[in-house]
Amino acid sequence: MKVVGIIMVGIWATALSGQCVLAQDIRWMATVDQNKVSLGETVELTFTADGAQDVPEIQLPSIEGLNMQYLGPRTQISIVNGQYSSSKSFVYSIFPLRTGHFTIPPVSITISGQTHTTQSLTFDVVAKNNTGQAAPQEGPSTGVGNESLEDRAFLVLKVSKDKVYVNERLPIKLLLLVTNLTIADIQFPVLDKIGVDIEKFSQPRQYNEVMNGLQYHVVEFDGVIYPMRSGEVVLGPATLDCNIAIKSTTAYSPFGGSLFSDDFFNSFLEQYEKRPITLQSKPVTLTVLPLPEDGKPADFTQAVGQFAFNVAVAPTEVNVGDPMTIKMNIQGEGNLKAVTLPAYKNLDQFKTYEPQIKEEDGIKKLEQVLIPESEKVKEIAAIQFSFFNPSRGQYETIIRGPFPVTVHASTEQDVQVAGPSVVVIPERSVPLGEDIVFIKAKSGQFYPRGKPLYQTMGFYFLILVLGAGWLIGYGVFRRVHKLSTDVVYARRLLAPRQARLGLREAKRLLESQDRRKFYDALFRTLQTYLGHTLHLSSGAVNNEVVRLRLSDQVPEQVIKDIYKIFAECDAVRYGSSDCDVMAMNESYVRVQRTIDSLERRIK
Amino acid sequence: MTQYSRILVSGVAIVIIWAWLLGSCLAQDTLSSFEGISAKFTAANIAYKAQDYTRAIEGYEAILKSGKESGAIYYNLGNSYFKQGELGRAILNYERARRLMPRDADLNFNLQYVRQRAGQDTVQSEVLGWGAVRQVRWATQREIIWMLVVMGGFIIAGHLWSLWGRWQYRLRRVVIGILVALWFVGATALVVQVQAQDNLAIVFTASEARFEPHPDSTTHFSLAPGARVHILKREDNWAKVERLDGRAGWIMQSIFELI
Repeated sequence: MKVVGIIMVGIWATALSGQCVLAQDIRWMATVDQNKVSLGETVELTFTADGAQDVPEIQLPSIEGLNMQYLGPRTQISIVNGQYSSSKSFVYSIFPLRTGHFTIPPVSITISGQTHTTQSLTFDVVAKNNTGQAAPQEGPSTGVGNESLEDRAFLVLKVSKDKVYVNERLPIKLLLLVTNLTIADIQFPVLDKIGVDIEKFSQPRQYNEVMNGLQYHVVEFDGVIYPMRSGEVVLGPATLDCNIAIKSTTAYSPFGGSLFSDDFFNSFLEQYEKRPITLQSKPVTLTVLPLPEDGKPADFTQAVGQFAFNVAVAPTEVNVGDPMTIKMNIQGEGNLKAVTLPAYKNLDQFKTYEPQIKEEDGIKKLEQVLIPESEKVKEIAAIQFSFFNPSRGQYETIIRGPFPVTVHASTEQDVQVAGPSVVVIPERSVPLGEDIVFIKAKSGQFYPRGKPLYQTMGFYFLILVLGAGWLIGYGVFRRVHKLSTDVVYARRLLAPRQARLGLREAKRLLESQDRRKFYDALFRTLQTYLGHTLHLSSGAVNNEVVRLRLSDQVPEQVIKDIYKIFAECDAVRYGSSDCDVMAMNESYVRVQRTIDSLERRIK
Repeated sequence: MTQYSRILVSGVAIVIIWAWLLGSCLAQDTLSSFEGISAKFTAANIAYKAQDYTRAIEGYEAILKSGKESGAIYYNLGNSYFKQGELGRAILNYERARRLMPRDADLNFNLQYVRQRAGQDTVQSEVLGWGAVRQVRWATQREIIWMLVVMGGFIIAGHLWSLWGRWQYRLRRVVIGILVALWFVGATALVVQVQAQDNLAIVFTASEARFEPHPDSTTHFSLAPGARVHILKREDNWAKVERLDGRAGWIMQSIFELI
């Protein structure tokens, strides 16, 4: 790490000293990566300050016919044979919008108090034929200045007619025509709304069309407008944002050229970049005619178009105070937003409610509740709707009604009025009783008020007990199951229990001083214990087996104790060896200690 | 005593403890035979029989204020309000009674009758589909919860029994699967009922729901006494309510009470 640090410090010291030494040797220059490109391709323009790092940003003048985009700065530092050099570049991507001969003017910059200026640069943009190759040129200026991007992608605004009435529905089309160019990320067009009301454009449809011998890809947006004032109304221009996919043979990198920016790779790897562009259509002038005053009905409310008007009343036979619902709907071609439905107001002998109006699927609907206040009502008055028909150029009126109704005198005094859309059932088919059922004599079970069962501690305790019961039951089952299927486990578990019983028996024999039986019991106890613990038959327990199985689990002393016990037992059981009570006690304690020791160590 | 005998005894002991706890909780849950409360209830009934409905109402309300409730109290209170001509409050108390005794024939008859008198049957007939299913009350919340607890006990017992009894795996899976499925049906019923009753209120005076929480606002729809509404939100003295047909409007908070 120290070595690396020293090297880094050395590099930076060298760099800084080099910068100081070479600060006076500054070169400011401009270059383009190619001086002839086809329309639809980009040119990379680079301004480089050699021998300087602290370079201010530059301002590039806009040039007609060129779309310039600043990609960012690029810094290069190199140390060759201890010689430090650095440069800072400003990289621009230029996208020509037309063919022609273009000149990048000289650009000045001030570094360390000195002003440096680049030379002017020129490059040509030529048309591209349908095969994607640059058009052959006879001379340096051939093919220059006769094609622009607007010839390849443009917007056209079309209206079905140029003379309309105020509020008349006018379908429009906005066509995006594209040829020999790739367009992506097309947004919905925007249309100037001055003097017109515009409905949202529908989803576009796409197709191909041949115009003037060229095949165009067409994206068509359909929309509807409603002129809001009379006179000359300029529609548009419409604008549409999209991206043009353009071929770029160089890839910008802030750290200078990369391996893949080499010309060799460029010939294989064509790179495309998206360039945002806004297309604009030509405006269309409409002549908007005012609605004629002659013959205008008194109830006319700016409805212009061709409409159908329907009215229905239900129910037509009610009691006084019962609601009747009037349903109206208007549908047709026209601006439904401007249509006002003719609701009833202050109808004689009726109580009227505010209507509910909604628009669904191109149909404007009205629902209104009327309540007859007298059984003398025989009909609901006729109602009319007037509109201007632009195709005929005249006003039209549709009259619906009158609607005959039958109103009976009220049978109940306290009939209540429900909401406007409630369908009233006039009579119940099954008559109910005339009074309520008597009170309850018994109070029934009382519960704590406002305290749900699931908020009591007892309830949760009960759930806990249920869960615990299941866990215990399941645990016991698993244990019993293991005991009945795993013999090794069962014998291991049984060993200490049987050893305790054997020792208890031996203790009893010790107290009765029956030497032979005492040592018999001790021997059986240890033999059985070892048999269970080591999963052996009792007859297979001998000194060799004990050493073989226990030597790696217990200390040598324990094994020696086992040997000694077996020897003592054999001496008394099969020999004439005599021993006193103290020796018996020692043997007992030894067996007890050995089993305890084994129990602690054997897994 | 063999090992299996000990396990059997332990299992029986667990079941006995569980039953004892269940009984204790039930006993705690149902506070029956409170001497003072019973006396008040009887006194209120006597007042009702004497057609002194105001005193009867006071008696029943006093029991409720003491923190205890029963279906019969709400039922009798509903009857008392009906006799006084307060149909909205009668329906409110019948609805409260229905929470505690949904299958009581007298209660359902009275509720239907008073609703008809209040003009509410038409609104009820508007509720169709899932909304209508939600209104069906066949058991109280307590009954459903206890049923779920007991079923939970059965599932546990069934599972352990199947293990001890060495049932075939397939048989065990079918039996436990059916029990668990039944348990989930019960749990779903509980959730549906809790949701249906959440923020459910009864309007006890005839009123008009407005488009905005303001007395001068336009009337949106009318509400008859006893109309059932869902409280959507509260703002100052106003509450936004939704009628069972889905229409929403604003009413004063003083004209309704939660069931």
